[in-house]
Amino acid sequence: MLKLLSPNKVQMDLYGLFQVSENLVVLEATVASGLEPLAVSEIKEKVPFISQLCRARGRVFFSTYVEHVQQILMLRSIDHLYLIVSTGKDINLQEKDSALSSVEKLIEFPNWNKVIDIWRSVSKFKGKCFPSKEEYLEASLKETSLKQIVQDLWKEREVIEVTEKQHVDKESTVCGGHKFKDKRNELKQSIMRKIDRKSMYRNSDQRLEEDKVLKFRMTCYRSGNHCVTSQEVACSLGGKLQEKFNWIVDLVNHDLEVVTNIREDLVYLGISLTPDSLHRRNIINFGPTTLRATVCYNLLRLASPNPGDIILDPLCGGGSIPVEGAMALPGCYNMAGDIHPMAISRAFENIQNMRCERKGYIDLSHWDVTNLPLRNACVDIIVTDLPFGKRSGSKQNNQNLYQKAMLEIGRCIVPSGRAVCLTWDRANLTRTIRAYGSLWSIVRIATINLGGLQATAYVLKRGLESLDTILEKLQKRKRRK
Amino acid sequence: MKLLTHNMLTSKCMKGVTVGYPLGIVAKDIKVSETEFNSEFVSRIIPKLDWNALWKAADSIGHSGDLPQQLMEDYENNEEFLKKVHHVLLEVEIINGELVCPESGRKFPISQGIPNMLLNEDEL
Repeated sequence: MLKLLSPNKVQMDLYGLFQVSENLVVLEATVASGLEPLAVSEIKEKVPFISQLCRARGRVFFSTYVEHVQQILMLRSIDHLYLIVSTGKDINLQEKDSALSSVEKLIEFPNWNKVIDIWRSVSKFKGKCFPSKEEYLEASLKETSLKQIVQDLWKEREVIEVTEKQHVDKESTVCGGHKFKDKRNELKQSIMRKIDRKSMYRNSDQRLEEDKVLKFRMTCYRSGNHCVTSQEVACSLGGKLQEKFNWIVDLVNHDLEVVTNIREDLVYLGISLTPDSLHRRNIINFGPTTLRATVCYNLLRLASPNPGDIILDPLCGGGSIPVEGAMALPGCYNMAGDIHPMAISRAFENIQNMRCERKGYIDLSHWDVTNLPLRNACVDIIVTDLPFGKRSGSKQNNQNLYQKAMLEIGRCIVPSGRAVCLTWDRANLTRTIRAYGSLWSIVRIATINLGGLQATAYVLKRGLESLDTILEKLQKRKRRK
Repeated sequence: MKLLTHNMLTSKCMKGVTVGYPLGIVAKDIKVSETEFNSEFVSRIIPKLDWNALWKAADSIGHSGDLPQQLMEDYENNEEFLKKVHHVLLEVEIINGELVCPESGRKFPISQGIPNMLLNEDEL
């Protein structure tokens, strides 16, 4: 079982880690909680030098040389990366006024130039990072007029959207069943809207890059009991930063995000190096249960793939897992398949969207997992996201499905092969595994937090005996009873 | 559908079929694309293949080139050979056509590169 470090130990380790020498930087990488050890293993494997490392819930902290930052942004197991710039310990957060002024002291550190340089080389921002008051005022006026233009453009578009939506709603009732009131679909639409508003803004801004003034946002994340709220901290520190540097405040279209973290009695300030989270990289066609690319990568890593391995996802949905496999794992072949025509067309679109030179390492088929058209013992690894029952399928169907699916994939996988099965329906899966005797043994269990849902990834190992032998033994066991 | 996938596919899931391998290929549209060559991948995947079935499949669609019918020894270090295998396994795709069960003659359609292996009620 994976254990989480106690909060106190994390505090001490973190504070120690933050006291680094001049030529090192401290980074914070975030990952879905439950998958931290996998992020740690990828970081240790791929980052050329690490001075110190420690992990907490949903994050990994480590110190390294600044020249490795670009490489770190190519890691596939992490969602966001922050550069930690300032820390404070034993700050009294039980009394509001002194709390706010103590936290504000965090921004009074001498290395802002160095920090902004690092951020600039990652973000490629060409505008003014330390504008004068006059430059700030001019840019502010420009921002106001741009916002007005975007607002007007948006109003025009909303009129068109309303009429379209009425048409779509009619169609959904005709199709019956799946009326996608699903949260994921709403999320997809809101993401698309944000992207469209951003492009409207960019297209309306005719200035040269060099004439623009840095726009920032201050975010605060807080856990523990304190007398201040995260909004109060964000406002207060945001205000101080604005005064200090003449930056423009923009909560939506910002260039730079500064993050204040208050965890119990440890406070630290960070700069986001990932304005677009790293996990939305592969998929253009979201379905009701699309997994983040980073979660897919970590699930694949749980299976310890080797070059030459054939990886199967027999319930691929939109294909997030095999697409990530083809992009991220050199030397593995990814076979994907699903029963639903809509899943097939989504997966097809997502595969078409992949970079050409990796497309050869993925293939898609239309099949039924309970009756796979595959030879015995022909795949090395299986990584799949079993239907959750809540979003697709239902609990009764699940029992039947799991029983048949686990038997079929047990037939198609090589002896001692590894299967990583993500599920929400733990009871069903564990019951199925037990019922099949020596076919599957549980090697590892990871509980993962996926957007509020507690899912569990089971790493299973296929037994050595042939399927016939295993089934015979099970029959004998039944007869004896 | 790539020939590497074809090498793993069987119609044994059908009622009444004993072996169901290898599936015949009727190719209407074939696409050849370039994909990144990885010699370690190819040399490790060869022992997992049914070589005979691979050669027959490639030959039946006219893409066997000068791929040998018998697998030679010491292929791991023969880069030229590995590249030929790479091409046949990953770069030749059946876009439209059919897979044919060798025992029942049942045809499985392939469209947009995706073989449809779903069975009807009476075939289960």
